[in-house]
Amino acid sequence: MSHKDVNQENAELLPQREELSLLNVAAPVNAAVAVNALSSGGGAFAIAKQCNWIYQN
Amino acid sequence: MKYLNEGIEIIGKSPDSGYTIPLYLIRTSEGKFIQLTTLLFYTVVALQKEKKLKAVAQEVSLNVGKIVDTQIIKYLMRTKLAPLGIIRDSNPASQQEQKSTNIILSLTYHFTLIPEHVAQFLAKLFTPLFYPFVIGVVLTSFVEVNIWLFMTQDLGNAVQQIIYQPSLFLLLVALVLLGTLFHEIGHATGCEYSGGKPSRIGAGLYIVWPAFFTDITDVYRLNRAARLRSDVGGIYFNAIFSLLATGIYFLTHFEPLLLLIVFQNIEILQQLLPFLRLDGYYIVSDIVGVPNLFAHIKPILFSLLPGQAQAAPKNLKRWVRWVVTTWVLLTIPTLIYLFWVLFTDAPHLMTTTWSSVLLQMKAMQENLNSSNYVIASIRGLQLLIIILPVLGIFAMSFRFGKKGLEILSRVSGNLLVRR
Repeated sequence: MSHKDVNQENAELLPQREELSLLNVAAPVNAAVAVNALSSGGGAFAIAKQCNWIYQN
Repeated sequence: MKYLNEGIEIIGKSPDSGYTIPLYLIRTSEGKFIQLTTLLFYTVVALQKEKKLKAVAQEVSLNVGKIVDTQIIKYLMRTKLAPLGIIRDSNPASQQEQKSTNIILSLTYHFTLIPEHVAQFLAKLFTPLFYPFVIGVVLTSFVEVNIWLFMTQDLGNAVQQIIYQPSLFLLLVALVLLGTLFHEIGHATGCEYSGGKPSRIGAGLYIVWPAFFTDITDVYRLNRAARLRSDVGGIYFNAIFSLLATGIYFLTHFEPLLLLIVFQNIEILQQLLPFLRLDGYYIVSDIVGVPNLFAHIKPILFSLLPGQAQAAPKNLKRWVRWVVTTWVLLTIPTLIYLFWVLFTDAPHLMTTTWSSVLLQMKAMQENLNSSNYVIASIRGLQLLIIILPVLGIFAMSFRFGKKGLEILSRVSGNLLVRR
């Protein structure tokens, strides 16, 4: 075998297979806000009565 | 004379590989898998059986069909096998380990939640859920439940209930966590059903987020279908969890359970992303038969530079190279964007978190004083949710800093040696 052939040989340590799932503990809060905002009939409004006194002497 | 370290196990040919050349697997006593090319594999096989190097060389020559002398065997042992800790009394090379597991994108600060023997017991218990007939029923029902949920149900009522009864919020968070843990048992069950041996289930920190994980390293020795079954086992169990929630809803008419189904859908979609080390990443990796996609980022990026085509990963099948290159070209901008957002938002996040923590603590104290323990617990949970990302950013910055110092000390050491 040539030196080149030997040097092309390779060994690789494979990473541990740790199948992850991110803990989205904030999901209920986010979803609640989102669903509330999107729900039919939902909305924000403000009513302010405007009045003023005019003094006449 | 014994040449190999204790506990080295010969596995055999790597099944359904994406490479044009045959690759082989061995396992160390710590359960780590090492992938080898033909000559190295047969050298390890012969070293395990033979007592003299001459006999080793003869056996290797027979197996590879080329003349291999003792000098070559000694050279392979010293330069290729010893750095991986395969050869007796050699140090398991930290260098190689660091190469194969990217320090930023690996799980850190992890601990065991369910030990190996319990995880295997649970996996065996749930194995019938992978019978083809059961899969058919589950998937059909899952589609029907979602159509029913989004076409006929008003989720606003469930949200309102949570707003008016804050204790339900705690319950919902607990159920979301339980669903995520069930997802992990799904991976273990998929692995067990396919003939593998799942290991522990645990929790840790991934980049800046808390995460659950299942160690199913054993799937490396299984074929493509078995590996994919283990990958999708998690989201399949999310679907089952949704069906359980639906069943309990029909019995109790407890509307917050409908939100739980929505969260399961969100988790399924999140898990299918092919970036980071989520399920989607492993699905792509197993379809193409390349175990460590992240190791191909650097050579592929280099190969795209003018005149650097030779840097491209060698021995990948043509279609596999296309898929891996596409994955790299999508992953790099995604990761850059992710880290950019994390670092640029960090100062704002920290100041906001600090003021929010002060407010929450004050409110929690008031709740405790008035014996309102449910609300106080929710505030405690909110505090945790607020603090976790900041702690994650600190932990990641620490790892970045440590890695930077290591590189600096290595570079400065090399310069001193040259002088």
